[in-house]
Amino acid sequence: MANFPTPDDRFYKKESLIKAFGVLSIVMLVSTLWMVLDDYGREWKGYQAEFMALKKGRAEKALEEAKAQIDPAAVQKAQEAVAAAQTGLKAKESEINRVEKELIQLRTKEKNAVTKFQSAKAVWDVEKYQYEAKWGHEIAEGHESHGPEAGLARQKVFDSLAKVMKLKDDANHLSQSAEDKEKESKSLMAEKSEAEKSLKVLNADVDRLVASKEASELTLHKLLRSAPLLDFADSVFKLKQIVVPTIRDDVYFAQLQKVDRCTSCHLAIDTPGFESEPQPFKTHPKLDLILGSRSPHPIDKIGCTVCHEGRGPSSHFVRAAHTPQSEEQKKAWEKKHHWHEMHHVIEKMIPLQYIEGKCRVCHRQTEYVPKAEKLNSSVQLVKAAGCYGCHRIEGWDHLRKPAPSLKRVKGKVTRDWIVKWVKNPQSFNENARMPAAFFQSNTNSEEFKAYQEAEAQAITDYVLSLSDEYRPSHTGQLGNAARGKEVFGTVGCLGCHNMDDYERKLGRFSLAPDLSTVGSKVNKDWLYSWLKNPKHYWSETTMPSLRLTDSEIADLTAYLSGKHNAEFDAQEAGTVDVEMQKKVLGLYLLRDPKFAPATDKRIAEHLSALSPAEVAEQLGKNGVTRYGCFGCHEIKGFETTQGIGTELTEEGSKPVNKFDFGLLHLDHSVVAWLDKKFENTRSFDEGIVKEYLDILRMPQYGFNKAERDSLITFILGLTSQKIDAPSAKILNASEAKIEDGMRVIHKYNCQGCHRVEMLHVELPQDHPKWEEHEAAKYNLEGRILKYYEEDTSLGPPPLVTQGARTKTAWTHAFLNNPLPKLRDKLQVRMPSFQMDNDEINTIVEGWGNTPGVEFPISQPTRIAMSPQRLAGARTLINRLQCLNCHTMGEMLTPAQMEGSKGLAPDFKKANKRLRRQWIIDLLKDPQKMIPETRMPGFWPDGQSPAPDILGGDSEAQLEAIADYLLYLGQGSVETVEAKP
Amino acid sequence: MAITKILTESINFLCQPSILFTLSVAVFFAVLFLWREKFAQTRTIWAIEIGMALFIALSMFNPTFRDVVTKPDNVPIVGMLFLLAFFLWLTINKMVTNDQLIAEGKDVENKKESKELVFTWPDLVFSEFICTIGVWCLLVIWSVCLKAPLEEPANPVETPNPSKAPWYFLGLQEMLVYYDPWLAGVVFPSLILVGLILIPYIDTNPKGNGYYTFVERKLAVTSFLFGFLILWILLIVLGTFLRGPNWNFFGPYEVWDLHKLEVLTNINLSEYIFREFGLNGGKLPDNVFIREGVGMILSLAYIVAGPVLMAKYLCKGMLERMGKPRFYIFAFLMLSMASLPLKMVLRWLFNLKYIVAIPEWFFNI
Repeated sequence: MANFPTPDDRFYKKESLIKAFGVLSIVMLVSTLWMVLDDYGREWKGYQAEFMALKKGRAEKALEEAKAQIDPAAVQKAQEAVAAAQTGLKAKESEINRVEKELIQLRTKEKNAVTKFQSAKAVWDVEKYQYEAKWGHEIAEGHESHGPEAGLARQKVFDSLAKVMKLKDDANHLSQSAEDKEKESKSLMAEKSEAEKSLKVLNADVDRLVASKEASELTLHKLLRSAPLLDFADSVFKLKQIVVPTIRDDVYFAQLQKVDRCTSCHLAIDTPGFESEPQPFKTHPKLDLILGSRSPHPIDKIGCTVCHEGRGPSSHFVRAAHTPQSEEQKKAWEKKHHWHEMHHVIEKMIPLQYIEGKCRVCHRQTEYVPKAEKLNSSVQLVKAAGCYGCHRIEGWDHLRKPAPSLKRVKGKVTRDWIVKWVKNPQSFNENARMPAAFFQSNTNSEEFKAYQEAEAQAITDYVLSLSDEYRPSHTGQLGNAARGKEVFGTVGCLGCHNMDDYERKLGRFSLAPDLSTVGSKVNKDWLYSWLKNPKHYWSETTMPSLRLTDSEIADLTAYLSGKHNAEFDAQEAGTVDVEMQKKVLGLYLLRDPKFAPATDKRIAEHLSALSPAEVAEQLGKNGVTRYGCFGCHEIKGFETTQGIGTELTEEGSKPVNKFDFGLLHLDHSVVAWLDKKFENTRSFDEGIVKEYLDILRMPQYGFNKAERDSLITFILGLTSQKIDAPSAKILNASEAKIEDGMRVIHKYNCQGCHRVEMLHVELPQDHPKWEEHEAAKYNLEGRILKYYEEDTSLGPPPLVTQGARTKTAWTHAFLNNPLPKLRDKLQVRMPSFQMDNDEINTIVEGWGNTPGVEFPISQPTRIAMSPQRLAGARTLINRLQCLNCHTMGEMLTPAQMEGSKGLAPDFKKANKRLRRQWIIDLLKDPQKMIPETRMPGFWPDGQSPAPDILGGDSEAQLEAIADYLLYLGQGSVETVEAKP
Repeated sequence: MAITKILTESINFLCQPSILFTLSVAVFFAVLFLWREKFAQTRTIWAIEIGMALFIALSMFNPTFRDVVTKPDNVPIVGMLFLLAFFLWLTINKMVTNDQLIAEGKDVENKKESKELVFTWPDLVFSEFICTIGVWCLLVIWSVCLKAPLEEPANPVETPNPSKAPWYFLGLQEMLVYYDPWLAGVVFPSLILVGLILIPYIDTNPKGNGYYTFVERKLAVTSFLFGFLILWILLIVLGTFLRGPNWNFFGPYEVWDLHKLEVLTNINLSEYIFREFGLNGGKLPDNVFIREGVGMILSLAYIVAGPVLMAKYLCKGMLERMGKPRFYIFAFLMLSMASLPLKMVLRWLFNLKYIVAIPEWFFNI
């Protein structure tokens, strides 16, 4: 090979060529090996190997423990038993051998007989066919049977069949004999097999764990199976994927079914027991709710990316678009995984702190999603902050406008108050929910500030000009402010309103305004009329009537009108500068299509012809249109105008490059943009040159970090994913009715006082965040209970089992008019909401559709009790001292309300009010029916507290009490013959 | 550092299309006609290659440069430039060597070799085999180090900005800046192809068969290298490295700002004539021929009178040597080729948009 001549005039030398060949060949080998390793050495295989090691370690540990558990004495005994059995067998050795031999012979004979039968049958099948071919057709077609020949042939066939069947019979006989012989053999060996079995049972756990340990072991054989090129057959490392055909990914030209390969690395995600392992082997939190096989969201039905987003088909940490939750995590990932952002992936994974927002993607039809506390609190925040007023969100269209109506504002507040309020709502009350539309970070120049002043003045005058007249229905009477303060704190105002005298506990964004400075806003007459009947001023208000007496109203009015904000009162309202207003109006007119082509001259002409009032009106109208006041407030002429904000229905799916970051250097992500926007809504105008009418106009809310995170959670859940049945939660008819009822309940803020849906999820006591979470127990529901920390039974009761609890007619009547008082001692009053009949029916029907509840109950309950049961019930009531808390039809004086007396409802009301089964359920487990109730449970675990009454039978006792309570309220004494 | 800033700003400035193009043309002609011998020396190519490597290495400190040059799509172009410099040098080196030999009256290099027998082994197979292994190694190592980027499924509502053609079409995409799409996208590419096909039929120069030479084939070498290096490679380099979002010019160290705005109001010749001189009341006439008359005449003159003038003044003797059909085809192709740099210069000097602008017929020159 190396013997080639090298002529003189070549550029190469033989040696150099050979050297080059050698070097390059080695490089080729190395680079090819490198390529193979690079291709086969996947990250996920490493994780699977790590997981196997983890499982092996666990199995080893468990094995140690199992071995320790084995009683050596028992094992010894079992082994001895085996040995003894073995020796016993030895004695019978000859017999066993004989039986074995016979068994073998029988089996051989059986086999031969079967073969013989099968061959004979095959031959007969041919015979049958031949007969049918020769004679069968003709007979079937009805021709003459050709005389005796046919008959003979037919007979022959049947004779042959008989012979074949005889052979089968022989074979079966032999089978039977073999079976019997086998049984004989087994019974001879029985003792030994029994002993061996007992030994095996003792070692069962150990054997199992040894097997599991071996399964997790990476032997050489297993590695070879997984080697490059050889792994096509049965590699130990396999990509695991979950395919969800009912949930589709939109890739613009097709709808692809979801393919999630997350479980290739997250190997224990749906296996309990791995909660304390490091990622990626950690079990999913709340496995009983999510991913568990018995949860409502089993992993094979939903996969992973429907909630977490990211690139499901990827099997690589970085390329799957994992998103870090914080800067620290980002740095740690950059170091460990060489993490970088996947710029071209639109749907990157959602940072875990916002993940609950995605529950909405499937649970679209309910306002609250059960067990999703973060999401539910974000829904409450969005409702209270009123985002949906300007920004349309699909599914939120049924809500009333979030802010009070301005149709009669002329009769409520003064002009000066409105101007000062519009310019800076938080100067009136730091807790004011109205955001500040004027004087923000992008109007800092002198010029713009002057424009803002002019606009604020004009808008005020315009809105006032649109307002109808309103005169309060009453004049304010004299009252006692100190008594008023007490009434305020006891009668139930604190369920919705914040008040500084009572330590504001409801958070800034509650559904009703903070009244700490209300005296600087409204006059006494208005307050008096409002408290008497809120609907007189505003028919759509959700403020109820508290059935206050005139003196109570007078006291409250005195108290509330004394709540001033001195600084705000002292503020100047500012003056109207008509020239400036004309200038600003000119800016608007330059863009008005009616004035096109707009020249300065033309506009100046138009403006000079206007009176100051007309200037204010026109500028005010332009201003209201521009700032979108009508999104939150009802204003005459603007009732149906659409809000000025971007529609948010699919905001969570908006690609990040559609968000305008202005000139700010933020992390280029949707989360960073939203965070900045909520922090300062005008921040993206910084450094940009814009005309006055082009500057950003979303008002400033001043959300704190927790509120911002909550809003981001909400918005990231507003995606364009179209998930339908069977994957999405589609309400059936009765669930829809329940939701309709709940919507009315949400509307009137029943949850300001009552717990209705158990939105608060209990954490296990050893959870690191338990304390924090407990402190926030009443944030979502039952907020007024924060003021009853020592004893929540002094506050409004929970309504969590209301559907099963009260009778339809009673509920209806109560919601219409909640009198008489149910619990004498309670000072907090259930208000009269003045709902119309449809709304009450919706609530009642909603509760009536609670699963297992009979709806509607039409027949009145007539109870008849035998004297024995009556006596038993009476004795029980006395023994259990029920009347320490409950009343029996009497009205209590304050002196009589000692201890718990008066906290519990009257027995005589039970007949019209309570359902029989509920009473029994309550007695069995009071905490379940009424959380945190003071009512004790007398039948723990079904054990009777009174074994001598009614034969100690718990069921009988419970039924007797239930019947007795219902009997008490029916107003007549009726007994019947004893019933078993 | 101030010196870095001065350097980067001046390089950004020099890379502007007008300046880069002019400088490149000047250097091109200088190298070919003035500095051939110096350029052909071995140390020249070392200097060039090392210089390029140093330039790229130092520039890597700049993040913008780094992002553009290390983009997996652009890495081959960088490699190609190194190879291009080498092969260009090799060509000129061979040309100069042969020219010297011709001047001395000797036979050109390898003339004998081109006629004699060569062994298959090792001259063909062994060296090819070694090259095969070498290419294998290169491709494997390249594919392991620079993986093909996989982006997300194409989004119909989101166009990438800039949207660049594959590198071999970037020259044409750059031409689109100066010419109407019909011309830059259809006519000129066709002319390029047709022109290349016609070369053997037009080229009547019997010299230079099988060996490199410059003095014997001045016209062919110059015109081909001009077309290849200036009108093709330079435009590709421009399109790959110096064009950013919205096809704006960005110097190699200039951050690609999506919002960069440059004044680029260009006017048609007809608009200039009628508005500037106030003809027809300053309004463009409706009749296409009146409106574009001047432009049409100029263009026709260029194509019709051009060859005639070429024959008389520029290419003396060629008409007789080649014969009318060959010469006129040759002249037409040369004039078309020259029209591109000519239009570019007119654009840079006068902001000229179209010489003939007939949007009604989708035809603009």
